[in-house]
Amino acid sequence: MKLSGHDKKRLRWGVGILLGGAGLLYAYVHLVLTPLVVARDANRNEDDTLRAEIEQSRVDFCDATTLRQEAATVQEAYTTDTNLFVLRPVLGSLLMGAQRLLEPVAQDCGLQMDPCVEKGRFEIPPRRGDGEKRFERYAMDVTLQGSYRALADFIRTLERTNAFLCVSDIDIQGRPENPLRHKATIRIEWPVAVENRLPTVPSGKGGNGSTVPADPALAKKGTAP
Amino acid sequence: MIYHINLLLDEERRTASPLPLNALLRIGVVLVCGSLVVATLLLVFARRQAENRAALARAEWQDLKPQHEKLLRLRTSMVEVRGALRQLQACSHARVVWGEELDNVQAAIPLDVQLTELRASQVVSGATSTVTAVRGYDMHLIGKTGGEDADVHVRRLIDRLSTPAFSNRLESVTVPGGGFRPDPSRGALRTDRVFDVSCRYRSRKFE
Repeated sequence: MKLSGHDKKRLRWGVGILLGGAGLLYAYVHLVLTPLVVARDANRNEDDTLRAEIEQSRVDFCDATTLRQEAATVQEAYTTDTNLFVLRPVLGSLLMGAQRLLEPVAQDCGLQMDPCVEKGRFEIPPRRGDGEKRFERYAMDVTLQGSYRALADFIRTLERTNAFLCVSDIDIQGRPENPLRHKATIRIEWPVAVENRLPTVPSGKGGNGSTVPADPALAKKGTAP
Repeated sequence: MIYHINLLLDEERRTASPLPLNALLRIGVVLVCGSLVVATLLLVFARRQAENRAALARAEWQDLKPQHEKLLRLRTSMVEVRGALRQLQACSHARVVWGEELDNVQAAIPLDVQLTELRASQVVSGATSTVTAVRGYDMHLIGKTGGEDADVHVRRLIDRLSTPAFSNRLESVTVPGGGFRPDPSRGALRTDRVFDVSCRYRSRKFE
């Protein structure tokens, strides 16, 4: 079909107007509407995130009392255990700390005890979820002479008074010249605080970094390693 | 022949449609512009509303945040302390209570057997990132016995170490090759024997 000059002119105008309108529309959507949408979505997202955190915190606050009680219980158990059962150095010497606790027990059991020999520190094998290592096993050899019964009493007393102490090696030798008096070497492992990572104990006796046995009364009686 | 002469100019032509193209275009433009204005207003309103809600939430969170952080710190420290406690308790779970065990061993020794040596040593193994370490013990009972029934005496000792009093802790009780032999000491009788009984304790996890 052949268009007249007037039709061509109108068509050009129409196409121009359409293109211009589309351009304007695009520019408006891009420059005005899109930023509005983006800003609205950003605010909504922030609101959603904050609401979720508020909701979570409310749930946490509901459990706060239980959590505080639980924390207090755990802290108390920790304080008690570290104060009573973790070996503490005497003037920087763990060996002396241990010997000071062992000698009265040996004496009470009727055993003759030689000076202890330090064997070193060993790690407590880690497990998942334990977090930072706070304790190690401090091993030392103690040589004793006495009856089998006395040796058993000695070990029993140590194990009863310290739930975390471990007798790792025992060597009891009978002596032909005196069958009732044996020579025994016992390796004892004590839990000790990892150096520079002493447990933080906010309250209670024998706190952080104490250089005396945690419970002097028990230590005096010789029943609390 | 009939001729039709069109005397109308192009701009004077009229369409037969009830809505001419020009009118349609104008209506379209008005509709598009109206929609844009409405959409803009709606979006501005929605943005204001979202802003207000976010501001409210922010204010509320600012109030709650310090207390919540305190609570989280408490929880974190509790987890740490619990981990430290478990490290300590691992030592106790993995041990054999030797004070009682020595009594049990003494009670298990038959009257006609003389124990001359008792050795026990720990074996710690299996510490990897996925496997919990275990502590086992090997115990050696070395002693003397005599008479024609010397082997029976040692057998009796092994039987006693295999009773339920021990079997929940002991994995195996054996006499190693050459562990039962004549007593080499001077002055020993022909029927005197020395023996070596090996006991392996069940492994206990450090947990």
